[in-house]
Amino acid sequence: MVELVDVERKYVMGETEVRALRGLSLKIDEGEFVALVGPSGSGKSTLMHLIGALDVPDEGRVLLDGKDISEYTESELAGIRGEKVGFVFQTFNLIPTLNSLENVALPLTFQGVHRDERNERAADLLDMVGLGDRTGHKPAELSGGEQQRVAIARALINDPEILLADEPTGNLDSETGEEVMKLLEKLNRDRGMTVVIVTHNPKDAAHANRTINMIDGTLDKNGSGGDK
Amino acid sequence: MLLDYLGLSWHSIRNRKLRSWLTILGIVIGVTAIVTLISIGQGIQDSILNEFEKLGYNTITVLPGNIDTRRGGFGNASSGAETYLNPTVIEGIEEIEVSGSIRTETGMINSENLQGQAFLRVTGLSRTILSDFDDYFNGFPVEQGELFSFEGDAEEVVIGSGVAKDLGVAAGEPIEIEGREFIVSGVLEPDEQSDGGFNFYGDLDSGLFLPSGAMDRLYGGEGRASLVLVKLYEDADVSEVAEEIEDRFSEADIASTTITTEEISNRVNNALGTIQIALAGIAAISLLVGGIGVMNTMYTAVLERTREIGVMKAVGAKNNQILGLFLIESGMLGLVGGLIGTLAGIGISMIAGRFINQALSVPFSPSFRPELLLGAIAFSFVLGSLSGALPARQASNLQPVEALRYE
Repeated sequence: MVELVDVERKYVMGETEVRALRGLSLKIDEGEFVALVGPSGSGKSTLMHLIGALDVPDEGRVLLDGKDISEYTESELAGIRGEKVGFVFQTFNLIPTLNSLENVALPLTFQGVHRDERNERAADLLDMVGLGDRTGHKPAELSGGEQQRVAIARALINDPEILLADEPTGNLDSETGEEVMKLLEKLNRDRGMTVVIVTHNPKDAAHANRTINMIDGTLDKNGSGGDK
Repeated sequence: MLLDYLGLSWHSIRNRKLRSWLTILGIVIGVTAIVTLISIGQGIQDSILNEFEKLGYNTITVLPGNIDTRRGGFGNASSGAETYLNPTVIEGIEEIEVSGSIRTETGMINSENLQGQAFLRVTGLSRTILSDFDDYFNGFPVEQGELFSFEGDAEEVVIGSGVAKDLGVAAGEPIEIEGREFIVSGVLEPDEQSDGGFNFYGDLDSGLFLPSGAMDRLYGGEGRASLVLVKLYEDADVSEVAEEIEDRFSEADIASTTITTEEISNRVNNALGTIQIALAGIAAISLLVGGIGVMNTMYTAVLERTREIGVMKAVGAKNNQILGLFLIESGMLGLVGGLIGTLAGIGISMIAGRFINQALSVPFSPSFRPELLLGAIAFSFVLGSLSGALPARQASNLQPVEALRYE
């Protein structure tokens, strides 16, 4: 479902140019649970942003369902993100002024879905992640684990084809982190949802059925674990 | 959809309560100033025009001399030999229903109780002035004694309350005008509107009034008028008749100037309109400053919420949706400011109106035109949105990845 071919992506950080991805090629199939592992600066997050149509490559191609994302307009990319992709971030990134229900329902607001339907679906998802009684709470009133579960519910609200999680357990204690990972695993197993996580944590990576090791902006052939 | 955006904007405005209110305050001050100035200015204009309209639109005032009414400043007749009008000149103009004349001189006055002499304004009135133009003299209210008779050769005078006091005379007592004895037939009520009220005759309190016959006998020269008032039939063409009157006088070698109520209205409208625009312009500057405040707040908001914008984009928000979100937010700051400012403007105008009413001799109340009030509110929303346009554009153009990375 996602294929990257000879992808290059550079950033300018201050005055230095960083080659975040250097001719990387990769294929992720539908229904896979992939863990991207590697040291800081190896390009994991950049790769994930490309997979999620949040960014486009400088060179090479990123094919989503066979179509090159570089050919889409910014607005079309936003549409793809809104319909097919769910993002979970290390720092949760909930909107502090909105309560759990509103945060979960937010993506549907931009899809033009009616309020009643939004709220119903958001409430169902909050139930599913075990926060049915926290719908009216603002992010500041929730624990880290709860916030991340709200964020996961938000990522699922558009019923995405692919769920992308950037260090989803990075800001959680190990026990809560484990619960979040189990939730992601369950989504992959029960719903057949494609899940890609970026992680430092080998325990997290163990939940995936494929581990991809990265180093210096490309795949680390030696360290790649392949299928579990 | 719009409602959803309003909801999201409202959340973030409420989240920055103090800053939002301070920003709104900037708009409030500007709108209050504008609404107050315009509604008071409009009220003054209305009440002045109302006074003129009492004369009626079918009344023409004729003054001697060539007065360039186009350049304003009527009432300053050119000083020359020709300072009198002969009212008989206009007799026979069909459209005239009735005309009246006033002759004003400065007279030397003596009375028993007065040490030495006084020089006061003496005004001769034709009968029709009091019968058909009595608004002109506020009804010419005789308080003590009675009005002089226009019949016969009685040497009678009606005097203003101030004159009665200064000369120490009451109704029925004699005074001398230019050495000739007159009996004071009546004393006028104190003229409460005397100061500031618009009239051609000066205030009633300090004048002496005679029938025109007695006036002409006293000063000589039949049919000399310092001012002629002409009332036309309802359907007459006022400006046409005014032209004919001027023509008639000029054929008789008398320079004259006609003033119609319409002309006066136009002039008052123009003069006050200009002042109002100038004042509103100054107030608009404060509104502009308010707009800059909105811009500043919105730029700060974009910076603060860069990550939030990144998240919204990550979950599928399109650029124009982010743009709309921020425009609505800044528009709402403007709108709330406009609403409060308009209400405050109404309040302040009403309070100020009370003081103005006391200072002004004519009845005054601020005029709240619905188009002004609604316009002020609508304009505030537009101003807010416009001020937010650049920050909103900045927000919508943020690259999602960079926005997410923003600390």
